[in-house]
Amino acid sequence: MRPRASDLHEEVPEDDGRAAERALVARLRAGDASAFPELVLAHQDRVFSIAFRMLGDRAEAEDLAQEIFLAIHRGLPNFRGESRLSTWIHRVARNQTLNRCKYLALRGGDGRTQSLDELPADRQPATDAPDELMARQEAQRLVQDALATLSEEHRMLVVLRDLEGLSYEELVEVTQEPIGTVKSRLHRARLALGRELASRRAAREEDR
Amino acid sequence: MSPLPPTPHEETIALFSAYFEAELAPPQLESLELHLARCVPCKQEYLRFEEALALLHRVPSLRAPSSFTHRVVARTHEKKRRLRRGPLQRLVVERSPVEWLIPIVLIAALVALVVVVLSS
Repeated sequence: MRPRASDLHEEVPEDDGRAAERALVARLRAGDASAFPELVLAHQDRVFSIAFRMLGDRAEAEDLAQEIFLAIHRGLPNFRGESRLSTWIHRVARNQTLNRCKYLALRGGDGRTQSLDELPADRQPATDAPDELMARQEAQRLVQDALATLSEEHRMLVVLRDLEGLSYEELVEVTQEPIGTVKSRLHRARLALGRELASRRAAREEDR
Repeated sequence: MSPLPPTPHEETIALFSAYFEAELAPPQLESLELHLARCVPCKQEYLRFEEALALLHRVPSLRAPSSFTHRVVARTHEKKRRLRRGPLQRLVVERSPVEWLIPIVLIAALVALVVVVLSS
């Protein structure tokens, strides 16, 4: 089974996607006032998702996502276009998020508690079936709680690869780590997550 | 002392990601599947691994809060406005009146005191 990278990138053919990104970068550099809101709109869901998956707190995640876009706004004059714009945005998001995690750890709180009704909206079509909605929220909650047990570096790799669907090539560019390091860290993170999810499921079954 | 060589179980587990992503070459694939067919603990470990990834791939992506773009753009405009302000203007606009009034009152009181002392 392939991760969802293909699903996400299938929406726009690869060449069209790159051409659209290049056109957007050219407009940003030319000072077109409508270009930055367009960039935010195109990437806000993914950036917010990364922030929320890493922090587990909606208000903190929104603040972080805004900071990420401010950092992108500041950094745009230095973006040389050697990587894809979306990859560069992921790199900024990763670095800002890990910095925020360090800051929160120093402050002494991880802010990773979230009640079920406070989970952010997802991008699935709305459903009237309460069972389906509950199953979706339960899966979100289970994943969120299990992710919180991983180290920040491991959590970030799982989020980028298995939730946001980045390719290994993109992960190498985003993390600036060799492919072997990325693969072995991700593998360890997945193993730990598999064990954590299994034990949480078993505990739930016992409670029922 | 050199580390112990990995056991067949460790070697199998190390290949789970590549197996899941269909990246194994035929000889490795064959040997891994043979091991999984014979080793119950490794098979169970793989099922946990596979189930976790399947769950992750089923979890829907999240949506940013409404008006998010508007709020980000408003913050960039606010930053630009701040950069355009001079230091005095920044002090008056960005600080509460108490913050800049107190030092002014203190300085005025000090000047008045000095004038009174010098004139007496």
